[in-house]
Amino acid sequence: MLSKTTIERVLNEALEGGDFAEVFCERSQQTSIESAADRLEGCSLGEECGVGIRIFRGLSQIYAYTNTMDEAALLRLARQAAKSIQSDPHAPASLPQATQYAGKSTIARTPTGVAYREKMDVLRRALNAGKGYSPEIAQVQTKYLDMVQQVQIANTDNVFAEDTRTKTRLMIVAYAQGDGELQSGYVGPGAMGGFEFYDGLDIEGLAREAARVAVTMLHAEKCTGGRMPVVVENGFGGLLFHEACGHSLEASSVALGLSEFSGRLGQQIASPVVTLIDDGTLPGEWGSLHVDDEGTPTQRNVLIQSGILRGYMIDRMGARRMQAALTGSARRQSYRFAPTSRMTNTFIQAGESRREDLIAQTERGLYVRYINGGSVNPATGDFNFAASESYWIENGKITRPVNGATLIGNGGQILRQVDMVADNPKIRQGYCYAGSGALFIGAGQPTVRVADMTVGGVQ
Amino acid sequence: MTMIDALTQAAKPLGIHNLFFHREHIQRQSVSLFERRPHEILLSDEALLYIEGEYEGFVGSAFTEGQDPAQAPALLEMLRQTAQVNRIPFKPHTLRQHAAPDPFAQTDLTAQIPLLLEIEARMYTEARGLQAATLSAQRQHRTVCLMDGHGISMTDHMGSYSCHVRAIARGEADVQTAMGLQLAARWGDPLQLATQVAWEASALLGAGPCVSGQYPVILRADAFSEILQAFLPIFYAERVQSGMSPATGKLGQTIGSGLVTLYEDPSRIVTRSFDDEGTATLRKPLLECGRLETFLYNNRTAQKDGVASTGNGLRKQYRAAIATSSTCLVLQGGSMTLDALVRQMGNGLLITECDGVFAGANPTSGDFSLLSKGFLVRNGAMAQPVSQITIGGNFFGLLAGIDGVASDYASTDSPFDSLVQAPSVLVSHMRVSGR
Repeated sequence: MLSKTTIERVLNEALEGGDFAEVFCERSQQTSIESAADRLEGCSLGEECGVGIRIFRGLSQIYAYTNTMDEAALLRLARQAAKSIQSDPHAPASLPQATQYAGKSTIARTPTGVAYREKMDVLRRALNAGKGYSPEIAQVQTKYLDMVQQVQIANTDNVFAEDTRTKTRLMIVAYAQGDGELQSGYVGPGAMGGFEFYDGLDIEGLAREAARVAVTMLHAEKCTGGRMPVVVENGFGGLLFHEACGHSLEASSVALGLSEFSGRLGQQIASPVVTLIDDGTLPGEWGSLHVDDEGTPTQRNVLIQSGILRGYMIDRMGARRMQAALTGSARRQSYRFAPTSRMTNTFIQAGESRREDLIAQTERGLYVRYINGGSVNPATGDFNFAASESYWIENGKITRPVNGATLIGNGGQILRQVDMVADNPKIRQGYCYAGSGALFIGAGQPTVRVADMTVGGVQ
Repeated sequence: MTMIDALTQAAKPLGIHNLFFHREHIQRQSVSLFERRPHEILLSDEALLYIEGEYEGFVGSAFTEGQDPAQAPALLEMLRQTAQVNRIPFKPHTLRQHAAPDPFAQTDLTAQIPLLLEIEARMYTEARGLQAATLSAQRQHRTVCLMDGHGISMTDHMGSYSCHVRAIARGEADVQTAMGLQLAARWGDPLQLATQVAWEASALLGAGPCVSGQYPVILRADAFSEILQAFLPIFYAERVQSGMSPATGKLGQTIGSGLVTLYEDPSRIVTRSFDDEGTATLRKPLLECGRLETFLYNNRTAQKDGVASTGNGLRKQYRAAIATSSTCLVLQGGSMTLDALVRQMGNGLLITECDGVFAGANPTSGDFSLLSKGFLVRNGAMAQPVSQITIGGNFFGLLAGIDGVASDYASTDSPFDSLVQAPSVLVSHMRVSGR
């Protein structure tokens, strides 16, 4: 990592090009192990490290990165970046003592201290349980991930933060095969924490769940599209709101006036049963951080309250454009990315309906148990995501499984179509891919019903 | 002392032999404009290192982005642990000295800012209702070097320029967007792309879903390239061998229409003369007039099928294990323009954009269902904008249904691997879900 003096020198060199400068230094030890069938597909142990230098001049931004920690090389890079934009005279930068965030979570078993053999055992257990679920399971793929990321974040607004972020995750994909068809099921639990995460995790149960989804979808009929009510189960179904409105509430689009929700604070944008929160402080959650990637402590941000737009997720450049306060939402995958406003753990708050009533009060529609992934165009609000396990609802009952369903809609319209929210909230873990890279996020919700939605099919 | 020197010196006393290095050097520069000024400028310079070695007869590996030779013992310890636990028998890499020329011409993109600002201004004058436009030009250059412990090395270089354009148009009741990408080995003026994107965003205003049903569909080159890229894993031998590909058992069979010829060309943009195992790459057809000619092999999967590697043993990232991938896959174009293809279709849908392809296309089953937009075509002319629909079907059904191929080409945004270049295609019928 860098000394305070080196960071100050780099900041001063960078300030020649702007009115604000920032240094982000990272050393991240990572393990990634993948297996398929009984074979190890690959393991990747090592360290990612480098430095990102960011300069603002007004509303323009320059970002430069390298993976050397050598002071002379960093000063050269800062000079080269600063040359892109000329600056006014400025006072020399000096930093306060670093604020330490590393102790804010207790890590019982730091992954870097856990033998590689133990990590392999996690995969073996998942593999065996998944394979044993049914003779129709043709293959189980597993992936183990951990990361211990040390960061230093310093800027000329008097911020100097140091943190260590520990993350661990297991991903299991089961494939079922029969009659020339192949279908998959997936689970991916993760946490902000160490290897102790596996002490309380039912690895075998999770592998069997992935296998159950694959086998169920193997015997499912192909989805025929149309418009209908859709009931989305609690947990990662929250991705619906992550895509439908979460991205559109990030300053990266709001501040540029490119979001459907720009300039609409205080307006009713959703049904009164919808309260949406982004909270990076949840203990142990996969999407949590002590401090964001600009050095601002994370916080709980109420975005929509009873359908009324209450706030956005705002990073430093967004705050400049919007003349608004930072919300601890600036994130980046690594030093290779300039930070921007992104979600942490985003979820719909519990409602008052019972899950059973949502289904019983739906005469004909689609019930989505698991969601695969999706995307959104924040400017138009048009979003899509693929269902990985879904069923028809007929006469108020869940009946036949269907595969290949895609849900599409427009964020602004869908938010108003949510007519029932159950009382069973749950958060699940995933990745979000956008401007500042692939980030660990939490997405959650109770069971929710959307009164009218377009379902895309494959036949 | 360099990191490689430090690793070489420290390895032997630890019982580690036959070190192999995969090094990459990547440099990027990009300039993005918004609201008639530079919005973001990016510069980067990375040196990346992956190592393998033999320990007690087994292969171990580790990676680093650090340059500090003092880290060498920690890296070797990781190598030793992975060898001990994984117990994969060591096989030496067979390299032959090779240094490809690097003809890439570096253009300073900050010097192109005045031109890009001019183009941005043209976008506003040439399209009604344009609310915003973003232009982003990027230069990327990558050097891959494989090296063994005896100093034999193989080096390849690849470089390209890309320009992303996005336009947002606001109408009385809706907002519409359009985007485009230009990717080439040399810097080129993106004016034509930019004005086309601006026009398209504006033309999409008022779009809504069409009636659900079966339609003849033209997938425009950019949309079709992305769909093809999503289904490339279907051709990877490792997926075929494990039954994870719907192409299993179809080698030598006709799976596409006679208009479908898909080949790999390692001399286009992703210029590789050898893969990450040191095997020479080669130009080869995957589909010839609809017939499945070969799968893509690395050394391991080739050995399993008793064939030669096709030079597709590539790493997803410098630090990942050898898997299967491709350089540049090209779907052979026809002779007619996109306009002529639209006239040939007569009535149907022209799809200009599909979203969420990574989630909505399933390379295991071959099924896809994708949020799409474009234009209804009536009597051979674009009649009405369409959005909020999905197109769905199966990849093989799509290939078999191709009735026409245009001469235009678009590229996916993947300048270092798995690049796809494809023209617009006319598909006889596809399932469309709308209203």
